[in-house]
Amino acid sequence: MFLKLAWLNIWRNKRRTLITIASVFFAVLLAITFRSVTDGVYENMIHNVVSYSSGYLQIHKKGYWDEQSIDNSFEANEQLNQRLLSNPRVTQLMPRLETFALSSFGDKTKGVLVLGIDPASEKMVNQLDEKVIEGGYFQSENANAVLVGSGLAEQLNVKVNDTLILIGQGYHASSAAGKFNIIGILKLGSPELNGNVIYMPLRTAQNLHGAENRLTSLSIMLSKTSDLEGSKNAVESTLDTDAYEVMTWKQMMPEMDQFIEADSAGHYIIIIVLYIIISFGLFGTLLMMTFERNREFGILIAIGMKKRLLAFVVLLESIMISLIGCFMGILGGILLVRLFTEHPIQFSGSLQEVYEEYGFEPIIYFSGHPRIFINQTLIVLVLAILLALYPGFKVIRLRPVEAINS
Amino acid sequence: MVRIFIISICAILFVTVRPSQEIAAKEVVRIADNNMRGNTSQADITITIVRPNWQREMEMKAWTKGDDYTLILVKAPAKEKGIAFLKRKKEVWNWIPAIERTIKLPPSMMSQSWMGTDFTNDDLVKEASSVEDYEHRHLGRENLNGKECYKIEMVPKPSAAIVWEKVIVWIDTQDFLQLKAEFYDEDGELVNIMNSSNIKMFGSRKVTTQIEMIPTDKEGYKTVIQYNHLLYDEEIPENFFTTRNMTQIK
Repeated sequence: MFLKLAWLNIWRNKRRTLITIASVFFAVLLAITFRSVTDGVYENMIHNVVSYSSGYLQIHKKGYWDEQSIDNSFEANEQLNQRLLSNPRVTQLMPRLETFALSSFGDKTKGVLVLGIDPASEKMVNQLDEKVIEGGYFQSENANAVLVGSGLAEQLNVKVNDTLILIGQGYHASSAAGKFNIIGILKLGSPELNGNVIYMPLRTAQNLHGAENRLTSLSIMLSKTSDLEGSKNAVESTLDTDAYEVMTWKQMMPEMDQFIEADSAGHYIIIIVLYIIISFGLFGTLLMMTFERNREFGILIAIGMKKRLLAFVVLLESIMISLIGCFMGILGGILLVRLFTEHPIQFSGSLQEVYEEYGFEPIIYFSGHPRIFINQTLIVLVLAILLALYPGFKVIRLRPVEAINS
Repeated sequence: MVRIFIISICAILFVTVRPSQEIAAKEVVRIADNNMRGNTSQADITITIVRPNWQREMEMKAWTKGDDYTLILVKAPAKEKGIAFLKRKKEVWNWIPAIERTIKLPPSMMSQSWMGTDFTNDDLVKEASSVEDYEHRHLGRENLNGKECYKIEMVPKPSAAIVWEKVIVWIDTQDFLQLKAEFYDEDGELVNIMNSSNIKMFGSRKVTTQIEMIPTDKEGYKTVIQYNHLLYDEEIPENFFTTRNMTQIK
């Protein structure tokens, strides 16, 4: 009976109802879009960074992280790879051999980070081949070839097809020295990496260091990035934790995690302001409604309607309106986020250059995580219902005579 | 007559025995140094690097002439074959065939590990001057593995560029061979122990053929040098010790 009464009441004044629904609708849509963009940008940033550096998870020989030496490398193991790939969350594996060496060309010398990589999997995960600005990408797995970061190339004054000399320490204190053909120059996003890094095929790096078939790390790319700890535990359960250690990117790059946390805090403030604006918008329409129906409420009470029941009906009306608004908001949000995840917003012009300078794709990504929809809708719904208590309160305090005469 | 005879016997004993107890510490070190060094030497060496979880062997050949010239050539493993070190006076040169470069080791690299062993590049250069660059003092005699040894403290002269605060050596009283050395850093802490053993005859010389270097701060680390063959006093021309020859030697 009350439901029906409330439902009929809503549609008595369609325009008023539609305005209220619209304000809830836009509130939900705005909250969803905002969260979706901020989360999407973070997810994309994390993906960008970890695909070049550590991967979401990384497997080392136990103790490698505390003492990052080639002597703490482990043997590449096809069985282990298969076992890891059988986990549906794991999308890609990137085997790597990382060392430091001295590079020299002519009379210039510089310490560098030498990354032995699997050319095929890096190409797939982080499109390393697209970062080549001069020359070409690795053609074979054991080519005697290196790719040099453009900052480093500038400092050493090398060009494509020059011969670079590397001297370092190999596995078990053997010496690692060799001459390599520079087949390409890379422009990487991170200036730090750009000025220090040399890529070479994994086999070549293993030969150079006398570390046949050994890796310092095995990076794991995940499809589901939100449940990092769960994925870590899943990976840990498939291997011998006495021999290996599994680390998340948050453990390996705490500074990036902290940056995101700090930046998120700023976004929380913005979103709280957003909620406050939403609340006032909603409150405005409710206030208008109460004011308009003041006389009606007075008459209803005068002819014997119980105040409590009337307040209840008004509350039901508000909840109905909020629900309709939220429902439409979710629909609209899904459509909007779907649209932008499939056709991300591309920056152009100077903004694009700034982004590329820092190694980020000049694209605004939207996150389609269901958590966002649920959370944001619930928050707006709770706000709407809390605000809807006001008309009810007003009804209870109503003096019928004054209301009728107003 | 008998009295005179006894007195003269005593005198002879006194003359012959006393000095042998009292050989100056510096002299002991000099004899020990000469015993090992010779005018020139050629040696086949096996170096074993021992680490807690692994060990590695290298074969080398070394030529020395006096204190000033040393040339070391790596023969095995295959990956490092041909790498050569030349020490000329206070300079060390390194030839790396893989990159066809001769590198002069800069002072900044002197305290770094030599070929991944527990010896530093500095040890290659400075090893020679144990007689001239130190003040020597007897600390008495001590029994070491059943051999009576002079225990001698060597303190670097202020003018010498030596990183140790002091070095204590044990030199065997019979053969005058250094059997043990302890190296103390400037805080007076023991950092390295060098044990020499396995005395063998090569030609007319009696030498220790196994030298162990043990850094005391790293558990389970040591480097063992094994002399497989030694040839002393074979004439080596001075132009053998050149950077050019270093790149060609087989």
